[in-house]
Amino acid sequence: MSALLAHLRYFVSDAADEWRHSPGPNLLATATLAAVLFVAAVNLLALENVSAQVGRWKRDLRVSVYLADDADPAAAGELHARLAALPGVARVEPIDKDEALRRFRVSFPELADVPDDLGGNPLPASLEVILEPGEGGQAAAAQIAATARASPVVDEVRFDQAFLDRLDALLGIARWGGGALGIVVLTAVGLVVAGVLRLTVYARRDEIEIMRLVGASPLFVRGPFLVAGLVQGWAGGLLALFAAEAVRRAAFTYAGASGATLTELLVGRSLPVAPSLAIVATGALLGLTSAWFAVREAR
Amino acid sequence: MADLIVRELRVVREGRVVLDGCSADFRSGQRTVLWGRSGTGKSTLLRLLLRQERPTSGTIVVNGRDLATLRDSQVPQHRRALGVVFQDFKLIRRKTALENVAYVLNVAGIPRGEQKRRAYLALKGVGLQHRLGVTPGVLSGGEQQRVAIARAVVNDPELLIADEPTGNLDPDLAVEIMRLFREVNARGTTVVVATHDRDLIARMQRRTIFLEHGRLSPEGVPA
Repeated sequence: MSALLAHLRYFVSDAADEWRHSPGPNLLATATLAAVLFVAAVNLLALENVSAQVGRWKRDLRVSVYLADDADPAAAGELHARLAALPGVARVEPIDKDEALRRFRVSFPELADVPDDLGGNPLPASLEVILEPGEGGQAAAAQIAATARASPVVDEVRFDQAFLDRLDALLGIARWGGGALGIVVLTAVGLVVAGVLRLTVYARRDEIEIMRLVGASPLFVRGPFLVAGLVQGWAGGLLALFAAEAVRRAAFTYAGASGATLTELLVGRSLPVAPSLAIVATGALLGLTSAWFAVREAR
Repeated sequence: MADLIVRELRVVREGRVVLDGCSADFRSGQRTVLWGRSGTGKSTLLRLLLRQERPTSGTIVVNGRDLATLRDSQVPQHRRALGVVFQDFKLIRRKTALENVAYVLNVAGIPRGEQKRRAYLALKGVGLQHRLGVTPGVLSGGEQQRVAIARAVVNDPELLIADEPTGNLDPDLAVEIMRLFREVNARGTTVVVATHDRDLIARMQRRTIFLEHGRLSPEGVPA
């Protein structure tokens, strides 16, 4: 065990020594890994944010029942009670015209002045029917829609589950497609990095020959290169995460009011811990694999 | 102490016979000069001893272990049991004299503190205790040769092989190097010095084996 630790310590110190003596190829390898992992991190960031938002929307499924402007309050109250009694309905929230206008201005601040320009509040009052979570939302929504449309006070009924399902399916395709494309790109980058690392091995070929002649085992010869590859990948992963977070914050700074909604949707939250660890682990694995390909003949 | 036994050793490379049925015994604790002109096969013999290549036929046995049948995985261990001084020194350019010598101990799994202590003593033994932190590029040819000798003996090898150890040195330094080999031999290490320098035979005053036309010829102690 102590011999293994001693070897590991030597690998790390020799790898650090190699960084000091020839930083160029090591920096190039790290930068290449960081660049591709940055692209992966930004894509993952957007995917995670959109997926999380769709998840929130799907957890908060609702049917919007828009009331006619001249709707009788008593009839609207009766409809409210009938909808609340339907199976699959969690609750019904009445939204009057003023609340609708307030929500509109919060959601679309850049259009806040439009209702005033139109000479009044054009938004209808509505009943927001919130469904119970779980399966069966589609059937409950159909029954709500049928009940609402039968009422003379209802102008329009909107239910977004089909849209959300399609969006979710698209995200699934993006996830799998992105994953497959990522594997191809990472493999290509791994080969490029292996080529760069091979230059390092080539520059040290005389040294490797000497190591072998004085009895160094293949593992002892390869160890420092493998550690260097591991550290390059790890550092590349960390750099990519920092860069992705910097881009996320910059997006909020420079997006302005008009792009705020889209920015919030795509990069509203930082990359969660698990995908962040996956980026760093992928970098480390990629660096290690590239180093292995570079030194596999050095034995 | 090590026995080195060579029997009917034959090496044919691309149709050319390099070694042609060499046989000799290098007995434990002996100091032997292997003399041969350039191109007679001395370096090939050294490569066989280090198991950088295998003979076409014949056996080469170190301490009862036939190198021709040695598995690749056993080669590093075999090499760690040898001390080798190369004609071109083969020092690691980016490591200091102390690190170059300690590297052999590092490879053998010796603890770090012990590595430094023994490497220091080995360099002190060749008179380089004042050049510990200097890299080979700054050292003179003679100093590099002495670092190479310190590296070869630091692990207390049973067999020390030196390939043209004085080839790059002026006569005074050559005398000094041979004195170091005598000291190593006096501690019980079997020493084989391969050279084309006839003067060295006189200086060594020990058994000499001649390598000519790919064959080892009768041995003797020159007057």
